Amino acid sequence: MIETLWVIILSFSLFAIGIFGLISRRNLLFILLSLEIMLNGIILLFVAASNLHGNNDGQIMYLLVLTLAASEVAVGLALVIQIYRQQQNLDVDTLTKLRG
Amino acid sequence: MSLHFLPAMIISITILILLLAIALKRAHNLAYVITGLGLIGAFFSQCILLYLPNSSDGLFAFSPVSSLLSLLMLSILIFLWLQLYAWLAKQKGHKEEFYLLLLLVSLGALGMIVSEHFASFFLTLELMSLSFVGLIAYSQDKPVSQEAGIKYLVLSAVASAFILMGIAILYLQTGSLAFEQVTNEVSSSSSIPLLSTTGIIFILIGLFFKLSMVPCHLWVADIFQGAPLPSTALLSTISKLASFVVLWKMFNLGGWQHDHIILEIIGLVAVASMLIGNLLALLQNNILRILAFSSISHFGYLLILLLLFNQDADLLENAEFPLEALIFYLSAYLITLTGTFTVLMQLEGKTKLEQLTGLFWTRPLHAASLSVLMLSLAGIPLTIGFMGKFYLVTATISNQVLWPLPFLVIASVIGLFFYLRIIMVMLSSINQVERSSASTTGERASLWFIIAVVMGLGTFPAFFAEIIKHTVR
Repeated sequence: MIETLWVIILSFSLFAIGIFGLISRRNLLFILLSLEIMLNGIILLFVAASNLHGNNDGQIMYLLVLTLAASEVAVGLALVIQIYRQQQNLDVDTLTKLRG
Repeated sequence: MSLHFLPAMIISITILILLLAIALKRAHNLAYVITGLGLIGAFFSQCILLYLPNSSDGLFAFSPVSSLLSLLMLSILIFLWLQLYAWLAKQKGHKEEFYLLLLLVSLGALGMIVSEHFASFFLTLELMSLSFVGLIAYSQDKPVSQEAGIKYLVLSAVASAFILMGIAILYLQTGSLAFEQVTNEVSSSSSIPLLSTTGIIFILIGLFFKLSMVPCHLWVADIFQGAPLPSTALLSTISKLASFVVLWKMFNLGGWQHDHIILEIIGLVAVASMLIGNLLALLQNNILRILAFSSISHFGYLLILLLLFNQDADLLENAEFPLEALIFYLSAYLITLTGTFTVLMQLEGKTKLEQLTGLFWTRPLHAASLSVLMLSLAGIPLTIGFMGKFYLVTATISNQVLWPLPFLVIASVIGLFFYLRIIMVMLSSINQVERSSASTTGERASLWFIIAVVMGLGTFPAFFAEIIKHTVR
């Protein structure tokens, strides 16, 4: 049995890696991937907390978050294809048609 | 299964019927009528449920206040739905799915207003924000709307990741996901544990992204400008209403105000939103961007009210007054904003300031109603916006939280400049008067209705205030 503290540390590091990727990456696909990493960190924390407290709420939340991750990627990839058709690349820095 | 679920059930059934109808036969009129029947049915069932006693089933909690807020939301939706047909008829591509997404958004927002469990809150929030991505990226002949869509997707995904992280941390600390149990566990201990503070700060950051408060306001103007007009209207009213209600609910339940770190964060964000929102709006040339930044500052004003709950000082000896002020200000602002978007939708996408030049000479009724709405947003007397601001300041003074008021006054003065600038642009004379298409009876009726509501409730607010007072008790 792994101690809960290590799981928590792992989950926070995954969340931090996700945020770092979100800020530093310029490619839309990698931004979506970073979001997935963030969500995975959160899922891990839910499962660890559920194990710690001995109730099942956290595991239900795990299923719900997994559903969210899947639907977010589905919507996101659909938009990514549209953007790629428009400008032939996925660089977020070139998404500058909207400027006031 | 309590009676309280009736409006949400009606909307769910409407969604299913609409899906079937689209699969069998694509017809714009049919989708419009089905949506309208569903929304009006939900509105009337909510009216009947208004004064039922509180009830709760662990996931959702119903009270007269939540019913009143749902009623406000449904009436905004119905008003926007009335304008939607004429607007969509001018667009290319499929139109029916817009109604489907609109209904999904309203279902999500209805659920979010009454949620009292983190699982139901999270599910309804996602139902709402994922449908919004579709609504924002809807336009097929407007390439910028896809850009706005992807920007909204990334923003809302980051927001929900932060909210989820906060939920997970609170769950780790307390072992429960119900709002009430979490807040009880936290406030029963003598000082709020650091882990809970961290959790609530994560949730606050997520909700600030949803409300586009100041440190999290990037891209909001782009989204407002790029999205189709009805989607922008929904985004700035429904989504913000639901998010703010959740924020209020969390602050009302728990003793978060007694934690000085959270108090300082809320205060800073409120003041920064008021000032920076209005300053950024000064130099914009697009009315949608102005509305985006002005909505930042309006929610900055509203955030002050959060500091007033569970306070000891109370000069009016009416503990519910902050809540009354909150509902009044929210309704005043949202009604005004809905009216503004209605006028803009009827002007067929004239959103740049130079396109509005001389509007008083070409389309006087539109220009007059837009002026009244701008005055209401600025908070000039005899409009509903002034009464909202009056309530807000009274509540702040009666609870002896005086330090935000100077900032409020400064921000309002800055705000006056750009609201009046829009009116000045419309008044300036033009050389050649182009004949614009005559407005239909329905358009004129809706414009007169907007003017009547904004001026009427601003001049005689007692009727509306009594309803709120009666509900809050």
